[in-house]
Amino acid sequence: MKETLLNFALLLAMITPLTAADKFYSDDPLQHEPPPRDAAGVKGRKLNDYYDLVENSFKKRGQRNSAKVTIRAGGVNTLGEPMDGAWYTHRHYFNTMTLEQLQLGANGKNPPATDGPWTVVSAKSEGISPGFVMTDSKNDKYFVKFDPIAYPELATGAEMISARFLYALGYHVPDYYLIRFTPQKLALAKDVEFRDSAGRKRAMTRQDLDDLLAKVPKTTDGQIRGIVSLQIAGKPVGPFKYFGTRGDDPNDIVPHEHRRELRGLGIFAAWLDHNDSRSINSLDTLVQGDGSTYIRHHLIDFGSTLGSLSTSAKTARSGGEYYLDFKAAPKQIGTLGFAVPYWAHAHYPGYPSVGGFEAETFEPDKWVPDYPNPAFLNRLPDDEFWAAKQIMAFTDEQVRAIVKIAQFSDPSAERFVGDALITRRDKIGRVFLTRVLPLDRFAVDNGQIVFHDLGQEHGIGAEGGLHVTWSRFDNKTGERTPIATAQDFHVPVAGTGSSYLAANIWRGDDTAKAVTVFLRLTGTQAEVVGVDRTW
Amino acid sequence: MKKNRYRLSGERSCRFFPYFRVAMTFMSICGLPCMGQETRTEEIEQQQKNKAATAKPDETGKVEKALTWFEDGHTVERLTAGYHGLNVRLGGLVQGSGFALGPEYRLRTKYLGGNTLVAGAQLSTKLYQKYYTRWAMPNLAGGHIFFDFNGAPRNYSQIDYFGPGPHSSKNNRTDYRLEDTTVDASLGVKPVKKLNLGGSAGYVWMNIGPGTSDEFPSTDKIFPPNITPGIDSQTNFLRYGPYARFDYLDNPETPANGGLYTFEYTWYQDQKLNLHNFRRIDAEIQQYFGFFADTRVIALRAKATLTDADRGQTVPFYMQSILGGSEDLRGFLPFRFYDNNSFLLNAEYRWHVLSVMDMAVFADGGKVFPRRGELNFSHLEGDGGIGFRFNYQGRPFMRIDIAGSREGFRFWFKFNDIFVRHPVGTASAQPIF
Repeated sequence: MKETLLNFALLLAMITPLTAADKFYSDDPLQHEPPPRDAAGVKGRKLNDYYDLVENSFKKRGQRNSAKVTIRAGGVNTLGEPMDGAWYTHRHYFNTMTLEQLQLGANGKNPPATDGPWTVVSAKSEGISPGFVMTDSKNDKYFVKFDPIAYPELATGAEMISARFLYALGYHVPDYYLIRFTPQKLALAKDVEFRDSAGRKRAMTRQDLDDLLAKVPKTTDGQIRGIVSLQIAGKPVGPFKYFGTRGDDPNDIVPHEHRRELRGLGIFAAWLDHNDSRSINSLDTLVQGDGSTYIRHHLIDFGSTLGSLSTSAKTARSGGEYYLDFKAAPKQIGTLGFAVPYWAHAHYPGYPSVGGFEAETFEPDKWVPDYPNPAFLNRLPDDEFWAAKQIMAFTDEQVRAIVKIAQFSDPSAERFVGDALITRRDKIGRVFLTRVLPLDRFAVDNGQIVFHDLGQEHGIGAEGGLHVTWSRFDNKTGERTPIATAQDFHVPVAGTGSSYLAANIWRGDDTAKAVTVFLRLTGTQAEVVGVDRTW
Repeated sequence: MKKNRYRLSGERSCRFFPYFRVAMTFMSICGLPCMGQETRTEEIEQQQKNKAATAKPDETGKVEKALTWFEDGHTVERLTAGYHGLNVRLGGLVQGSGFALGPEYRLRTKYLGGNTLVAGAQLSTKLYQKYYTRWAMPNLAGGHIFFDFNGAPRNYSQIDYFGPGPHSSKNNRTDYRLEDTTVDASLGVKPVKKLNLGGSAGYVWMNIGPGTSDEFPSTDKIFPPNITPGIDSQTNFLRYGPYARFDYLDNPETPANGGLYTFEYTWYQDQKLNLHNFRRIDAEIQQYFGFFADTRVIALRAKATLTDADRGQTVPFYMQSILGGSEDLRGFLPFRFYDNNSFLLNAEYRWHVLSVMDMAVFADGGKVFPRRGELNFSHLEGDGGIGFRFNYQGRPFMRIDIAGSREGFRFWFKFNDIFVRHPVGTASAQPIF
C-alpha cells in the first residue's frame, strides 16, 4: 500500500508540471547532447554471449511496442534526430562526406607504422578464429584479425566495408586498416600470455605464433593479409545491452530499446547483413570530454557482415531467421521442409571473398539478426524512415568507393558486392521510405517552408500532390487553431498573433501519413523547431 | 485474481495501474518538459541528476556468472584436451555394447609433417572391452603420402547372431563372444587433392566364445558348424590389399554436395586351419545433392560387400558381411543378417528446421546373400523412418532416428553420422568394427 501511494504521488508530481509545460524550449532543437555528468565511477562489466543468446531468445527483455502500447523513439531532439554525443554523431546524411572521407572512416590516418617490427603483446587462439594484439614503433596498440583459410579476403573485406558504412551512418566505431606482412615482420614480446588450443594459459612461443599464422590464408606472393583496429580511446567498461539502461551511468537515461539510433541500427544491420549485431559486439569506454569522464558507446567487430561469418562464409539462414526460431520450426517440421523459407532461394556468386552475400532474396522487412534484439524489434515506421533516409543518401559512386577499400583482388567480386549493396539499399528505400510521408530536411527559405521530398528524389511512392494546412500552435497547451487563409507553403507570419505555427503536410488523399512541422516565430523570422510524423 | 507487477526501474516494482510504467517511460524519453525547467538542456540535466542519485552497477545473475566462469576458464577446451593429452573417451564401441567410456591418450607432434599417436581403452556396461592404438601421419612428403598404423585387441561378450542368410528368423536370436586382436598398417599416396590410393596389410588373431547374455542362448548351442562356419574353431588371418577413395564432398562433416567413393579389395589368408581363405570387395558410393541454398539435401548411399572363397573354403561367420542396426538397416535389430555378401541402399531427404536441428525422412533397403550372382535389387529388406539431427556450431553431434520395418520399430540415439566415414584399408575391413 505504501509503495502504491508513493508511486501515485510520484506520478502526480510528474504529471502536474507536464500539463503546464511548453512543448518546445528556447534551445530546441538540440544538436548536441548536454555536457555529460561525470561517470568516472562506472565499473567494468562483462556479458556472457551464451547468456545473452538465451536471455534474448527466451525472454522478452526491455519494454516492447505492441498493438496496445506504442512508445516513440527517445534520445532525439524535437526534429526526431539523435543528438551528437555518446552514442551518435551526425555525419554523411547531414553533411555529405567526400569519397575520401567515406573511405577513411573513423580516422584512416593512423595505420601501423611500417618501420620496425610489429610486436605481438597478447594473443588468442580460440579455435579457428586466430588473432592477436600488437604494437608498432609508435607504440600504438592494434587488434589483428584474419580471414578464414578457405575464404581469403572475406572477413577482412567485410569488416573494412561495414565499419566505413557504420561510421558514415553516425556510430562510434574503431579505426580499421588492412595490412599485409610476412611472418618475419612480427616480433614476440616477453612473457606474452597465451591460451593454447587446450585452454591452458602459458607463455607464448614463436612456434605458437607460427602455428597461428599457419591457419590463415596467404597471398600469392607469400604475404598474409589481416585487418587491424586501433585500440579504442578510453578505458573499456564492457558492452552495452540493447535494452534497459546501464545502472551506474548517470548519463544513460533512455532505455536502449527506445533509442532511435539503436532501433534504426536494425535497418543498417539488414542492409549490411550484420547478423551478429548483439551486445557482445559493442564496447563502452570511459573517455574524457566536456569537462568530465563519461561513457562513449561503440559498435565493434564487423567480421560477421556481408557474406562473412568471421570464420566461414554465411549460410542462407543468417538474416533469414533466428538461431532458435521457434515460430518457423513447427512449419518446417509439419511440412517436412516443403514449405521453403524465402531466404533459402538465395544463390551466391561463388567468390570466396564474397561468401554468402546477395541481394535478390533480400527482404528488408523480414531480415533478422541471429537472435531477437529488443531495440530492433521496437522500431516504428519513423525509426525505419530515419534509417532508410540515411541509407538512401549513399550514391552508387559512394557505395562503390567504400567497397573499394576492401581491396578485393578479384574486380568482379568488388563489383558484385557493390551491386548487391546498391540493390539492397534500393529495396530498403522502397519498403521503409513509403511507410511515412518521406519529407525531410525542413527549413524556412524566402518566406516558404522548404524540404526534401525523398520519395520524389528516389522515385519511390511520390504519386499525388502535397497538401498543407496551417495552424497557430499554443506551446503551453498544444492546442492548434487553424489558419484558413493559409493553404500553401508560404509561412503565414503576418497577423497570426502566435509564437508558434504548425504546418500539417500530406500527399494526395493519404491524410494518415502526415508530417507536422512546427515553426517558431521571432518577429518576422521563422525557424523550424520540431517535426512530428504520423502514419 | 491475477496481479500484474510492473517494474518501474531495474530494481523496484509496483502494482500500480498497468500503464504506469509506460507513462513513466514515455515522459522520460520523449523529451517532454516535465519538471519545470526552462530549457531542454536543463531538463536532460535534471534527468541525469536524478539518475546519478540512484546510480549503481547492474548486478550479474548467478547463471550468467557461472556461464562466464565456465567460458573464461575454457572449460570445454580443457575437458576436450584432457590433462597432458590424457582424456576420457565416451562411447565409440560397437552398437549394442551399452554405455562405454575409458581413458585415451593423444600425442600430437610436428615431426614428419605432423603426426598423432592415440592409445586408449574402453569398457562398457555390458563389459565389452576394447584397447586401441593408432599412429597417423597424414602429411608426409608435403601431404602427398600418408601412413597409418592401427592395433586393437577387443573382447565383445555378447554379439548377436540370428543364423545365416536373408531368411534367418528374428526368433533365433543368439549371442557369441568375439575376441580378436588386429594389427594393420596402411600406406597411401594422394596423386591429386581428392584422390587417395593406397595399400594396407594386417594380421588378425581371432577367437569366438560362448555369449554371456542371460536372455538368449549362446550361438554355439543353436547353430552347428555346417550352418555357421567357424563357430567351432577359429583361425588367424593375414590380410592385405589395395584401396582407392575419391572424395569431392563440399564439407566432410556436413556434406550437402559432392560424393565419396570408396573401393577396397582384400585378401584374407587363413594362417592356421586352411579352411577360410577368401577375398573380399568393399565398394561404397555416397552422393549428396543440396538445394535451396543447401537447406535441403538428398543423401544417397549404395554399399556392397562381396566375398569369394577358394574351392572347399568358406567365409567364417564372424567375417561375413552383416546388416541391421543404426548404421544401415535401421528398422532391424543390430547384426540382424549375416551372409557372405551384402548390398545396402540408403536414401535420406534432410531439411533445415532450426540452426541447431535438421530433420530427415529416410528409407533403407538391403539384403545379405550367399552367392555374388544375387547382387541385384530383388528381395531387399526395407524400412523407413524419420530422424532428428542436432548440430553445434554447424557440426552434427547427435542424431535420433526412428525406423519401422516388418520386424517392428527401432529408436536410435547416436553420436555419429548415419553414413559413418570409416578409415580405408584393412583396419576398417572388419565386419564388426
